Amino acid sequence: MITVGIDIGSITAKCVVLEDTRILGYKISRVKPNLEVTAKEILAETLSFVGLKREDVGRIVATGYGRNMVDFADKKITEISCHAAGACFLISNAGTVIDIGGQDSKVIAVENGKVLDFVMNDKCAAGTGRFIEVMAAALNLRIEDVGSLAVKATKKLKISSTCTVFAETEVVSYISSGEKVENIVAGVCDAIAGRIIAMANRVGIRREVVLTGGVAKNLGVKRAIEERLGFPVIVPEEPQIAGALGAAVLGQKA
Amino acid sequence: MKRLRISEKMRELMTGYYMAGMQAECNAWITSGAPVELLHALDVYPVYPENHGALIGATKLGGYYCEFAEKNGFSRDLCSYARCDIGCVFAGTSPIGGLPKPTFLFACNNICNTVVKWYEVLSRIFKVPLFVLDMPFIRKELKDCHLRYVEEQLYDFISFAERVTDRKLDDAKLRDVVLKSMESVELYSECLRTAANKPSPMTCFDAFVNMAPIVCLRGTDHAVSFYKEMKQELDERVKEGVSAIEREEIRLLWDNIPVWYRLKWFGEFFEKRNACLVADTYTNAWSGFKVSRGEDVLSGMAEVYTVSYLNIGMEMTAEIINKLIDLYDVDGVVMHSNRSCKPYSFGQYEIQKKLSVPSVIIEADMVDERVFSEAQVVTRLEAFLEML
Amino acid sequence: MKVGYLCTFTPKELIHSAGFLPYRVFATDRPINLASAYIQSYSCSQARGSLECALQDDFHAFVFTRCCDTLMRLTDIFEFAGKRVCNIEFPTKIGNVEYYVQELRDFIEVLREWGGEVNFERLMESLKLYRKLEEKLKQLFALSPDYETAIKVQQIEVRDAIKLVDEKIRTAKKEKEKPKVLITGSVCPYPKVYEIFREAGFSVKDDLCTGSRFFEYSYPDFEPVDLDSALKFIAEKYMNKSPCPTKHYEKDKRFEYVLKLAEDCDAVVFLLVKFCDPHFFDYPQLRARLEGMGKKVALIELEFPVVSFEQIRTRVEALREVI
Repeated sequence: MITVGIDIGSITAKCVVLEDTRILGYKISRVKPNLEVTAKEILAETLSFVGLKREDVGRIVATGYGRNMVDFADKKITEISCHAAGACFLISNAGTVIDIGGQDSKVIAVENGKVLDFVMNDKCAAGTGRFIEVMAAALNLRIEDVGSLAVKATKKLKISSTCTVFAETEVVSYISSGEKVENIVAGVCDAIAGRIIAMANRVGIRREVVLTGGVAKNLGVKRAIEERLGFPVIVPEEPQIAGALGAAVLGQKA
Repeated sequence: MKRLRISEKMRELMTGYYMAGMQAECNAWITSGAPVELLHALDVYPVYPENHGALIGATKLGGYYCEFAEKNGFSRDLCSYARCDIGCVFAGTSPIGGLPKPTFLFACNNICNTVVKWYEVLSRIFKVPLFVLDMPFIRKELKDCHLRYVEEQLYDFISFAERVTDRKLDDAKLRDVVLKSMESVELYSECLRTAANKPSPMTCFDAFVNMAPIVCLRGTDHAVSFYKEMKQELDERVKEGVSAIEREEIRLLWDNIPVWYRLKWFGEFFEKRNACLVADTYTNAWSGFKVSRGEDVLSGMAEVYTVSYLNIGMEMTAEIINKLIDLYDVDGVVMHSNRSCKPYSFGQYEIQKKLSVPSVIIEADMVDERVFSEAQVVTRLEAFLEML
Repeated sequence: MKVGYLCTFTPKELIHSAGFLPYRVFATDRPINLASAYIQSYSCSQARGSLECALQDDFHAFVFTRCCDTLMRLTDIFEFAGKRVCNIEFPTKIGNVEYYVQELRDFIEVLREWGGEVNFERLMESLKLYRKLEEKLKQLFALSPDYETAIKVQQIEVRDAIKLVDEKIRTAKKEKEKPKVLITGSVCPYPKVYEIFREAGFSVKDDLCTGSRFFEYSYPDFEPVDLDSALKFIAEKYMNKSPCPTKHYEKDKRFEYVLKLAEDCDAVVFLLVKFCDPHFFDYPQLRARLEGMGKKVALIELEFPVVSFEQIRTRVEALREVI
């Protein structure tokens, strides 16, 4: 059966087309103010990319913050279940899935694609993609460049505040005291890693640890997490589509 | 959700209670965990700012009244019961026209130390005397010296109240009030216990809505007859197999004070997903106020009120929650991490690990609707239900 | 062996006489990471910072007193994190000495379980030493408040602490007459913050738990003759210590104390740790009373570790300018 998973996040929309256990294709786009339009467009785009028509699709599953706006979906499942399913589809022996999203981060304990337990960040935005975004803006950087810059650092500057607002002031004061941008950025990545590991400690960390979501592409964050864990983590080839893929996977079963 | 008929009665009863307060010759503002029996025995009308806070929360005006306190310098991080009540004092009104000015204040820190500070503020505003009943925190064991300490203060309180009101406490009357209090607590507990039936005839939202009499009127005939009637209605439902929600597939337990401004929203959210919050730790806490039938009323009172639910260590708390999990046979626990209530919320991360069923934490506030993030809460709860 | 404590109401003399080093735990310069797995982010950073410190450093045990709702829960949280803990129920309502003496008797038993013996002679020695330290600190602060020292002495052996303060007294110079600011609040273990006030042209006076509230006592006027009367001495000493917002006093003693301290000051700064409920409840009414006395008042909110010193500087300098 052909299933489609659509993940409407806070910043990007992702769509994956799956035939049984084979990924036919996927698309990633920016989210538009109108979530329903966003969903319709990315569905049409992805289907035409893989050369399929709407009638070919057996089931559509929506996930992500905007999932409830996707009226045409047959089913709506939260990104927690979907990230777990997607990560396990890609990395079959996954024990822990860490997803650092734009508004929310989550650490999910999994076994064979099933959620055993999960923890999400509290209200505070530290430890989410939003945190990097704010810091990147303060440093006048493109968010995509943060990770590659961080790995060039010669030292990690300490970002002590857990509050995004205070942390921004810290970053600004580092700039004015002439610290190198890469060293500041490395500090930002390490601060996120610290928050994530604290969260992970609440569910307990079991290998393999899979990193998903947009921030997984950030090498700086990945390395900082590995340093704190003391072992390597796995980042799937396209970590951003894990949620949408998981939705498509769960669509096969439902 | 099928509403209980008794809720209508509750509204009438509480309206009457608030009206009586306006006319009472002498009243005391009192914290929810204090031994109110002493006030009833002295014919001092008890005013409950916490209940008033809950009421304001339920009318979704929490943020509005909190702002009056915030404008006067009270931090937004303080307890929202305190903030909105103090706000109403500054505003000079509230959804029920404000509370009557107190004759004196009675704060007991067996629910938190916040009430001590809050009542100090009130005592400076109203320039009326404040009695603090100080209860040691019972982290592991209740010691004799703790009980003696509390009991001595109960005697101190009686002389204090007699002096302020110029009345004399009548022993026989106190005994009578305590008996009524025990009876109403017993009846209320029985009402809550009916939720052990499958399907449950009530949800924790019914428990929340109908808890006002056990807080405000325990020790009076009103509470006794109210819970008798409520029990009857619930028994009927059980006999006829009536379920509180459309289809009960998942049974859950709620931890912490409710999110008052979202009661209906939560109720519908869970019902739509065939999940029933059958019970909660908050209302069940009141079922503990059972004064033993021993000879000495005051020493019994000292014991019961000292080991109240929020005044005990986390190990005991986890044990109690696990007992509730068994009693109500629930599949999971929804924990409200309540920014306003530190003693109720801190330790939840640890308690989670000691529970016999899965649990989820959502962050909110009991009264201040400005800190509620619907999307965050929905995602956590839906994911939790998917996991179960 | 270090026995950690957070609150100045902790009977450090007893811990010391049992052969342990009473060590006041503060937030450090380290970012708070591990602690956030144990407690929510709306707890104060003193609680989270101390927990972070406890998780990373080596302690024999920890002693808590119930001061606020956060500390009350923190005992269990420390225990859950694998630490040896004890909570002493110092009364919230100041008055009942006899009750507290019994708590202290039980505490001696706990110290024994931890491997420390308390006897009358040793306890008297510890009482004498701490009193000496407290009086020397008073002397030093009368010349020139030295917060770095006041903080340091809470983490070293009392005999070394006395020596350190002695040295400081020798080199301290009486401060010149300058506009005076009263800093009131709970803890601030970052000496640099106090320097900002001096650099802005203030002379400093404080009502802080990392300053004068650590050493301001009025001592009972009897000489203990046995262990029991020594415990009574401790109970009275601590009940009559400089009042704290976490306690309930007759006749609003806490407010009266701060107002009196402020009499010879030009300005008052509330240096408060975010989420510190006891202080924030007092703040509006105390501020109004201070303003009624004609004092300039400012509020500075802190989060530990303190990093934005420049923000604090701007506020302090602005305050200095309006005087």
